[in-house]
Amino acid sequence: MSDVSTGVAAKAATLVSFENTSVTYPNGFTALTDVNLEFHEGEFIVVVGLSGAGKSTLIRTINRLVAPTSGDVNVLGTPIKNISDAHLRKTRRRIGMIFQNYNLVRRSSVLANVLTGRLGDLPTWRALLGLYTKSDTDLAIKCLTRVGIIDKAYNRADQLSGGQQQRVAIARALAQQPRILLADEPVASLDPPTAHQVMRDLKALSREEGLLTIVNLHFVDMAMEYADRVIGLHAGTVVYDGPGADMTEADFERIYQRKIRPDDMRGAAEH
Amino acid sequence: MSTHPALPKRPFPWMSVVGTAITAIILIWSVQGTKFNLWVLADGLPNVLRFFKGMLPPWPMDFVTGQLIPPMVETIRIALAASMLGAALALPVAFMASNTVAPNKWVYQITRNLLNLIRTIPDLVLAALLASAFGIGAFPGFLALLVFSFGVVAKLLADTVETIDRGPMDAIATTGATRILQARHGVFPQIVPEFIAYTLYAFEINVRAATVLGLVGAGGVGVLLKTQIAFLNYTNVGIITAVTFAVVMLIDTLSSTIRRRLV
Amino acid sequence: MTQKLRSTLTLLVVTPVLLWSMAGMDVTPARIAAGLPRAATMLSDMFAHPDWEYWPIVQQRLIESLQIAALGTFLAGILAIPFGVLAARNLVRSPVPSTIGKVLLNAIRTFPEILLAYAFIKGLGLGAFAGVMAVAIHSIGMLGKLYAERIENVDKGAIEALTTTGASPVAIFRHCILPEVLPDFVSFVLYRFDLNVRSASVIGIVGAGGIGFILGLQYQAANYPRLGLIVIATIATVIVVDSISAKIRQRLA
Repeated sequence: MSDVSTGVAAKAATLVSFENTSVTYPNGFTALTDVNLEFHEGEFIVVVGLSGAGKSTLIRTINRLVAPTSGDVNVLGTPIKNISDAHLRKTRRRIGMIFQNYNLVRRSSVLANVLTGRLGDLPTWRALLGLYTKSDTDLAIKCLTRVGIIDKAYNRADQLSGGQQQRVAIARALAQQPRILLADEPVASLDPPTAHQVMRDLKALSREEGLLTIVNLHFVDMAMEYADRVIGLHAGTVVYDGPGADMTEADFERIYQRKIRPDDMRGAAEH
Repeated sequence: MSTHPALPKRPFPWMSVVGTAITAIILIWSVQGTKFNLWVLADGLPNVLRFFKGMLPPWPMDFVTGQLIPPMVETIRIALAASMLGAALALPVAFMASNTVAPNKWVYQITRNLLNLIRTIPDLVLAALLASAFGIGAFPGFLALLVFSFGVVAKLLADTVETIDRGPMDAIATTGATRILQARHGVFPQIVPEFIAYTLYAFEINVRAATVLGLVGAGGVGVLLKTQIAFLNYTNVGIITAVTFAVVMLIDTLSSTIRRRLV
Repeated sequence: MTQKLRSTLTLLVVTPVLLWSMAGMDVTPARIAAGLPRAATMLSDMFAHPDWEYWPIVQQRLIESLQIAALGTFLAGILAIPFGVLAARNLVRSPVPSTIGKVLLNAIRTFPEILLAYAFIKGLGLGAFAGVMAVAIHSIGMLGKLYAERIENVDKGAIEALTTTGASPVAIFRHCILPEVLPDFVSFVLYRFDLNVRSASVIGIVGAGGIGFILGLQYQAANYPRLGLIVIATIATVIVVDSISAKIRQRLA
């Protein structure tokens, strides 16, 4: 495992690289302009910026929920802009993603939800009949235990609190045995203590599994607290790329084009 | 899975098991009672299809112009009149059947139950009874559809009234206006689009119901249908069905256009 | 357009339409007056003195109607699934299958159930079996439409999440869409069952089994006491079935 925290990151494998990537939506809005970035194995990266600055787009381009309009994005050795659907699915297998609204199957049990993380690796007949293998089930149970929610395995997903549901979502992503973990505003719907708990869990998991983790946040203090590396976006371009600890108020103003405000901070957590 | 100590005990899915068992029993009982049989079905299917085939074009146009149009027009008139009047009568009753406007709990309960009662009567039964009393022809059909439309619109309207914003109504109440005025000025303006939509919906159902009502002689296209079936003139049966279908589609389109213009 | 102008215009349009539609009906006060006493005697014969001795036959026929409704609705519930999937707009990229599906479902819905009954009597003979098939085919129309609309309203978030795991569309349908919509499908089937108990009672009149047959018989014979028993029993059955079904649907929500 390479030591990411002391600038030896260049030695770790590049898992994602943006090569002159631009993204313009069908309605004409240009979300990203000529982005060039490299993300390495094991890094914990937080992307910050105003709404509409391109944070979400940047993350969603990695697993091609959004397609780059020019340039390309190289993910796990594959340039993804023009690959076939089947190839895309194969690449997505190794990328886990969690969302602001958890996006669980509400009426299904927690365990069933985590098991759906294995669907991509199942042959069609097994997927249709819902016949997961024993190793699938063992893995799902392991992931649930990892996030500390095994006792709720048979509860319906919508019976859980927000923080618990997010943990199930994380377990589902882990069940994919991913190399990259994406998180699109994972804590925006959670209260501060729970939000900090989830960020801590994410960071710990990322470290233990050696995952490249990219998180979207709009709370600057959280970014600085948890990130090894912060990417600041403004109007679709990268205006800051460096360790969170080094961020100054001037950097902040470059990203947000204004002075820092209280509502840009998440606030204290009970550590 | 049972090797994992931390995994909680899987709760026994009582509801699903009991539900499935009861459903299975009911189905087996029904299959026996109705003598459902796939072999008989396979045997009989060609005859069924022949019936439908007999209804296909080419259609003799003289039937359409000569015999079809007057009853069709009569059906449309009956359906229209029944839905309009039924809706008009349903309006005040709908207010009383909604817990937001009804003056007290008794009125609400009684009206709701009465509406439910009316809606349980199959319209054919109603038409048959009315035909006995008032003689066959368009009138009993109209009355049957009137009662039916009244029931349908009143229930739908009452449900809608229960979901509206009470603000305007309460505001008018503070001026000391009577309940009727509150309803007229506070509630009614909010439900106009739905009111029209439900009236048109009743109109559409009524046109479709005409084929059934004709069986008891309650006027309209249904009577023509009955005679054509009796004479085994399946081509004409096909024409009648197709024209009824076209009329219903027209009303549907008309209804969507009107609703779009209003909302 | 001011409120007053709009109201006046509406009145100007609606009144002639209403008058025209009422005119074709021969609605004279005389006719109503003549009918009322007849209606009153009829009603009293029917409901004040129903023929309770006739009950065994009524019971048997009622059970038959329930069986027709149950089996017919169940068949429709299953058969409507592929139609619903076809007609749902959000499952494939092209709008073509969905449009075809919706037109087909509309055609089935509008096709008069009575005609379906006739068709199946032709192929299967008189009796309840024909009734089952008529109810089944007719119900596919409404159930298919309800299914399609429900599928079109699924939670997009969960689908997006599973797409990002690299699961195939079929797997997503099976594990994300189906668990979400199936309880609602069952609700729809129960609702349609309610309606079918009513219509099963009716199609019997042309010979498709159930209580409709004796309804027609006693109507022709003008035997009001028996007719009254039939009507009372039918309404009572419908009420009971409705309330049980409503309770079950509440539990499902």
